[in-house]
Amino acid sequence: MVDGYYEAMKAKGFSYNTTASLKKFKCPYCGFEFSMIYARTFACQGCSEALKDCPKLRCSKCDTEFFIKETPQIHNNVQQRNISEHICKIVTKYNEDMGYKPNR
Amino acid sequence: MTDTMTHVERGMAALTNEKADRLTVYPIACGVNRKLLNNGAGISYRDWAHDPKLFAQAFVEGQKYFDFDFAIGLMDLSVMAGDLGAHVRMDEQNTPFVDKPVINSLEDYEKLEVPDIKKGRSGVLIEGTRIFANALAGKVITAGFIEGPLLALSQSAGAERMFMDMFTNPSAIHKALKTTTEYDEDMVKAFGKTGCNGLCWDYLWGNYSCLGDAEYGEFEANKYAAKLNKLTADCGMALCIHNCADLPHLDSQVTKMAPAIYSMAYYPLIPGSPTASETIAKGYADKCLVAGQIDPQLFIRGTTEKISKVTSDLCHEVKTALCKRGLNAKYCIASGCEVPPDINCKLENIKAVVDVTKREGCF
Repeated sequence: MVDGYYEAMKAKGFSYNTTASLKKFKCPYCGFEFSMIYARTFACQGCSEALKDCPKLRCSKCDTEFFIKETPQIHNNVQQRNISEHICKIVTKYNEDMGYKPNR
Repeated sequence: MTDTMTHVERGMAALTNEKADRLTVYPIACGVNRKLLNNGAGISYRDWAHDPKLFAQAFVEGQKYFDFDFAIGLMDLSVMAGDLGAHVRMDEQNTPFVDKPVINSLEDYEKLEVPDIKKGRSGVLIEGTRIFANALAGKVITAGFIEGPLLALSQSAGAERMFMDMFTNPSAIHKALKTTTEYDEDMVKAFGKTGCNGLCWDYLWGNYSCLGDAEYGEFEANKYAAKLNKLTADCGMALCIHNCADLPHLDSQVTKMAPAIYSMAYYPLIPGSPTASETIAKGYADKCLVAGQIDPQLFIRGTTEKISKVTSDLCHEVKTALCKRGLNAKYCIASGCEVPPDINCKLENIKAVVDVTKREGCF
């Protein structure tokens, strides 16, 4: 996960997790290109698991669910857990700020 | 080989594709220059980033010590967000960063107000730029440094939040971008009075990893950046762009925005990240002076021998690519992003990049 680009973004104030959550990748099943934050905004919206450190992502195009570590920038379970906890915090705060209910 | 041109002559030759004695060199050494102050004992980052005289003095001392071809007044990327109301964590010796965003709801985007640019760190940046631009006038080509409107907003709101709102509430983002653009306009006008020769924009989100052409065009390039780039020229400054993205929007930012200098990075582990020779071969150096692409981490972690080898290899790669393209010295040997202002950054590595370019970058 950590390479020069992550270091450069970190120097600018964006954590490794922030960079990873914004960086696009291809869906391993249909090739649709999206970021983790995009997945959480659309395909995972309203799913209560997204607020419980869910280690999976859902493709907005083909609707396939897959583990975060299947994306090219996350390599193991530790990184997967780290990033899922990070995104969970972001989505939880976003929902609270916006007044969204945590489930459908 | 001894230099036969002055820094300004060489810089102008590089910008206009005239023959030069060697390639220009500018590792983006900014905050790290503070280590040269106080008789070499250095000062804290906090003091450097809050006192315009110290900010400027670091660039003047850096120029004396390293003998660069340019001077670009980068402070850090939380200046605008801090003055917009976000809380900035300011450690003694580390680059400051936003730890509490100012935007926590959709309404907050509309509540953003342009701050008084004479106060806060915006004022320090402008006054510091004025001092070092005057001190180095005629010696090197100088430029101020400013955050683009989308970057300033992402720092103020938190990047993830801003992206989520871009997907779902774009009108709120546009309202906030109108404010950050007005803030940038005030800054450009103030930079125009400092005497600096150019203004370097950080358009960080022009990155295919994060935004496609349509999204980047909508949220920065077409409306906001176009207006600011024109204002930069109207205020008498050359347009420079820095973007350390892994997959930069070269067509938007080089071909359409037409800067005088484009500073970029290269990440060997990322497929598609453009190398120096690819960038030149694709014609981007025809349009502007391209600068890059030494890994900034080498300035901390690399040995002097390693960074000297990397610089030497880059000089030869670039000279070969320029020759194939029929260009003269339209590449500046630089770091891909700021040389880390870390307390452990090795000044001898910065010196080595300059010295090796003087030797291996000559024509």
